[in-house]
Amino acid sequence: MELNRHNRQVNQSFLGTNSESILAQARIAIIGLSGGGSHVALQLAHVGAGNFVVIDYDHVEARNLNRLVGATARDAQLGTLKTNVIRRVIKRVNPRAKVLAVPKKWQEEAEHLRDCDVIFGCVDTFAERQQLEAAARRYLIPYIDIGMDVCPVDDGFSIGGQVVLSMPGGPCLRCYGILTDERLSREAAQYGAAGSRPQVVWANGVLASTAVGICVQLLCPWRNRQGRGILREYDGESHTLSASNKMAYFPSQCPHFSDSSSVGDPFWKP
Amino acid sequence: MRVLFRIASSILEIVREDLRRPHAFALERVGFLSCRFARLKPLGLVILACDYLSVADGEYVNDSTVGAMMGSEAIRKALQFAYNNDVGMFHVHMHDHCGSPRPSKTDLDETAKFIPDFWHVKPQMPHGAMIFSRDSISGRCWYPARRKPISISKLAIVGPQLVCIWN
Repeated sequence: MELNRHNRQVNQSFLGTNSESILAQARIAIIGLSGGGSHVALQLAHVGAGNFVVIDYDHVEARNLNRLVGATARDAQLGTLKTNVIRRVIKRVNPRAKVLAVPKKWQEEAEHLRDCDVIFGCVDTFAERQQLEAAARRYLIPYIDIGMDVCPVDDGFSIGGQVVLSMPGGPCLRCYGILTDERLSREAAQYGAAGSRPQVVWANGVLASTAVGICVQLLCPWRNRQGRGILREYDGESHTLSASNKMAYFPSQCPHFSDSSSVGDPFWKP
Repeated sequence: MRVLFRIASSILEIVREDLRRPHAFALERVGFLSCRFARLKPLGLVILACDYLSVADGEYVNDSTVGAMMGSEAIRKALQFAYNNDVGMFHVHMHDHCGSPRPSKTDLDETAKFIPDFWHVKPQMPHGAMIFSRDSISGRCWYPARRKPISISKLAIVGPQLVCIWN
């Protein structure tokens, strides 16, 4: 055990002399533990993150096996909770890690997010992203969102996605154009009929790896970084992830979360 | 009781810039952070810094026995701000060194005198006192219905780098 920790510290020494302790103590929430969230959890365990809150109400099914890292055919057969799979994945890499597994909808246990240092949103719908980002802003917590989609086009399919760092005060998912009223209303109109969104493990892996990199960069920057947000767009045809040219047009102050009265618990009482 | 404090680095920069300014006679500057709150289960609190209220040059009292003495108008404005905005108020000042700042006896005595006054205008809100150093923060929180202040155990500065400080 000590040898493994020592090796990790040596190999990641560019992250700073205190990086091991910073990563071990940072409390990181991952909401949604399928294609994106499972990759995120595994990689965070590898870099030495040691304090997790993992939330997903769902069980493993056979249709998840094409993308849920760490899930087995046996899990699909037994209908193992995704939270249990992810706890197992993390513990196998980092047995010392604390993992609070919450097998519920995150909205039912949202108080677990309040003392987190970073929140990863790996959820399927725009409505959930909207709610999750609002919760993160309410408690001044950096929010890292990953999303991908496969859409039919004239000559086949298009794979696209994005990774976003939404920081308190910085541009939000609406500023980035990811959340729009049109998308939210279209999704609401399809409620119950949307079925499972197509996901592919390699695209999820690219997006999740970048998201983990953003998190490590926040906690243990290896170079000085300026700026208050990140948007990287994924193109599944060219297999590239690039900085969005939308970044040039963002307002310096997010107009959607500028009211300080929306910070903290509503109607707070001791 | 577990008490955490979270502040955006952009607000912290405003605070530090203000507190670094020299004053005609006061040896240091003070100010107030307005804060909102979130409950932690089973028993805990997250303090969320929202806005900074600077103390104007003319609102210091010339008192050579302390580094900075606020006049009654500065305290009245802070009380008014708490009342108008439904927030808790945290007194801030800076110690000019690196590392974790510890309150002096004067800090402890003076804050214990005036911080509980904020309960006259906002009895439901926690209030407190923060000390900034060049690279760290410490703080204490007066929680409603508790006479003694509670030390803030973890402070997070949220910016391009997320800095967590455990006290």
